[in-house]
Amino acid sequence: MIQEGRSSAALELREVIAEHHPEDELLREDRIPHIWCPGCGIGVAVTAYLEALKLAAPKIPLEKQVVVSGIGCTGRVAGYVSIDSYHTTHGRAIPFATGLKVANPELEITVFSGDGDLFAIGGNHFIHAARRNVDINVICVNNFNYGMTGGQVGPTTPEMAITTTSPYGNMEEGFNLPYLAAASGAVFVARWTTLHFRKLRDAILHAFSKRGFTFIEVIAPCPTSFGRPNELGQGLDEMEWYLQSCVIDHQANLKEIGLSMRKDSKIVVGNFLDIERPTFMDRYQEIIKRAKAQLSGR
Amino acid sequence: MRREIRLGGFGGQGIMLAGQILGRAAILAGKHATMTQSYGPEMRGARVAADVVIADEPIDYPKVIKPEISVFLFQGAYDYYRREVGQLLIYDQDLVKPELGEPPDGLRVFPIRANGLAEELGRRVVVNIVMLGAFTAITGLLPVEVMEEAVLRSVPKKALELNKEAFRRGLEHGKELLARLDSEGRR
Amino acid sequence: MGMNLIAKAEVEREAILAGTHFLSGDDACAEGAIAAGCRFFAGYPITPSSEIAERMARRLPQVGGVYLQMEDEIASMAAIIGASCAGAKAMTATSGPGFSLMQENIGLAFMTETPCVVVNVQRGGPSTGMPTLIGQADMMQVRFGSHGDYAVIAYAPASPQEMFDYTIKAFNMAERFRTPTFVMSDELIGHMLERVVIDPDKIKIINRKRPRVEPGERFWPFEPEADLVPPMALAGEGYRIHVTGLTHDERGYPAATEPEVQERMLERMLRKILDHREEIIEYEEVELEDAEIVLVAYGSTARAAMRALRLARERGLKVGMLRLITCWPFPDKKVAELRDAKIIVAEVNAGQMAREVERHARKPVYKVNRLGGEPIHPDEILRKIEEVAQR
Repeated sequence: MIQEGRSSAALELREVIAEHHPEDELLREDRIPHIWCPGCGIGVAVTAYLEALKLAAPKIPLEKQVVVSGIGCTGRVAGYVSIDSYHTTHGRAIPFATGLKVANPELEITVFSGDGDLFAIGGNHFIHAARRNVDINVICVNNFNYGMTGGQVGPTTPEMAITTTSPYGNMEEGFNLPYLAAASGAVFVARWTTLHFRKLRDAILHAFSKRGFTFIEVIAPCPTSFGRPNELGQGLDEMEWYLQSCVIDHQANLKEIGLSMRKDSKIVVGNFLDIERPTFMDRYQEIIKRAKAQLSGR
Repeated sequence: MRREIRLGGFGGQGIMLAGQILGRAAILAGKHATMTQSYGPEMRGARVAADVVIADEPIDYPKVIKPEISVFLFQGAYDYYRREVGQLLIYDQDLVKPELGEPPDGLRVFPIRANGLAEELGRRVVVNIVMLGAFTAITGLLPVEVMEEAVLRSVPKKALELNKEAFRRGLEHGKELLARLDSEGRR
Repeated sequence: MGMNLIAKAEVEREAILAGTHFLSGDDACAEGAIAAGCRFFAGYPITPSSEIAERMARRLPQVGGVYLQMEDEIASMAAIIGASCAGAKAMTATSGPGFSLMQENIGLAFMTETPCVVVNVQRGGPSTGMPTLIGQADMMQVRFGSHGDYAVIAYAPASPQEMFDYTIKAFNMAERFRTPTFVMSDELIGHMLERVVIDPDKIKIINRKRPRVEPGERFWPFEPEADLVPPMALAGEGYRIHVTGLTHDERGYPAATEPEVQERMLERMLRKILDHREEIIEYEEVELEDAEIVLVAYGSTARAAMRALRLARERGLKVGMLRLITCWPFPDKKVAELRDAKIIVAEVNAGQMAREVERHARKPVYKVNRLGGEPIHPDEILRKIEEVAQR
């Protein structure tokens, strides 16, 4: 899968591959090698998640951590992480996770999936889970296209981007995910790129500690399917692009942080929203009280 | 023996509840009963019917095939079902105008002042219970105590007295009507 | 928090609506679920099944359970699978259009061997069809509606009492075989009221098998035992399981490019149900001993057939009935035994189960069909009996 390009990043990386990975304990070693392409950003997002799992372990034991994925490249995350992990149907990770969480609120559930899975086929579930404030975390690796199926246009593909099904440029606007999440009712909303490893890890750690629906968008390179047609270079080149164009602004006006393909445009990142709101189960406890009171009053 | 009863009215009159009470009373009396219903897509105001089958033995086909007793609280329901009226027709005299002329042979007809009595009780919503009282008196299908028990088990606690009174008034009204028809030799 | 919905070994007696009631089939279904230990319902309103959702919304919080109204039937199905993976007994209820939306995740439930119950109160179709009126035309959809090969356990209750009894049975079989099961009711049975007797002493509950080793020991979540059913580890128990809708091996690991794994695993999943068909299959035989004409019917249509049978017997015709209770697995052997009789299949569709009866009786059958909107009248079946008797 290594492609010709301006950078030899992938070849250089080969030199640092060791016998053991520091996160081996949390990976299903017998399932490695994984399916992701060189330069793909999903691995970085997963590593940030694994580090957050380890850092949270004193408070949240690993046996209570659950990861749920939909379908797609990011959908494969559930298959590699060595905790209870569920790889569901396309777009349906969130309602599946909702059932898991409601049935056992002790579980710390993270939905790890891609932009197409979560926001096209699964978009309706996203807004409703956020509205209900189900106590789950959603991490969306946003690489702007359907990578696994060959790089088709998706719900976050920026306007004018070239994909295999938008060969003349995408005529639709992509979703502004943090804005959508905040409007739908999420209690924590963040956006980072795979360049911001520590910020991302800390945001995930914070999401674990939050009660309610949290959302983290992780902007990630997809050199094979999205980078190439859009002349973004190798994965490392895309990281370079993040470095040049990212602006950290926790107070950003979410309405204005939609992403664009224009080279001079900025990628606004940060922990944008952090509020408290009763969760679905908080409210349901009240319903159970009412129901039982009415029953005994009869 | 299989007895078939149709209760027809409009949505919101408590026709379904009346049917349930009748079925529940049959169960309390140790009989078998089914209730099926028909209605349009509207939530309120349209024709509805609760069809009840009561029998001593298990009921095979649960729907009414040819109702022996028909009770109507709404002209629209009467108009729709009039061709299927069997041996006994009970209707609210203010809400339904059957325009039968001379009733055909084998059909006995009982106009009931159910709506009027319910209004006198100050709550038109109990028109269904008043009608059930009259129904109990006229048909003798199920014992009065059982019918009353079924009514009381089926209505909200806070409305027990009102419904009890509604049932009684209907029952008395039905009895009076029977007595009058008897004295006129018209039953 | 403390509260969770993980099924307990026994159902709390005070949760069960003991006594003799006059209940609708839909209400009886909800009560059956609660008596079976169901503490999670996810659904989306649809006529004529909405009363099940409404009763669950009222009853579940009374017994410490959760009713969750989802954004659609796709989410409802996904949510009950998730809840079951966490250990809850979970159910959803729907009708034709919603049932279609559930099909993809029904495949997931089968593939991941997740116990759950789906109730379909059938109405007239296709498409929006006749929302308030009867149909029985999803009998093949329940068998083949999802993609790929799978085996199905589906009941067709013929009364509110059976809605209660067979909802419990559906839960028991789901748990016994780690599979989604179905209650294929119809509008007439769902909406009609009848006597329902609930005696907690007579209710038998089956719970799924659990791992026989401690977390940390070698445990493969899809390694079957002698009955071909693997014990089920729940999320949060420490077994660190992986569960996927991809073709997977006994460890639960994807093997999506290995046809031999597909053969081995899928064959076992089919056999775990089909090898136990004699344990699962239920039917009612009515006066079959001397029957020259046999009626085959199920659900509410069986009650019209029952009346036609009585009327025909009064006229001296030797008529019997085979009432299907499990439509799937299909009682193939029983039907094969009937092949010397003239067979009439009555159903509110264009002949779905009739096709299956013909397949196993190995001869054409006579049919009484309605396409939805109205139940089959006993007289229609009686006329067909008389017509067939002349031949």
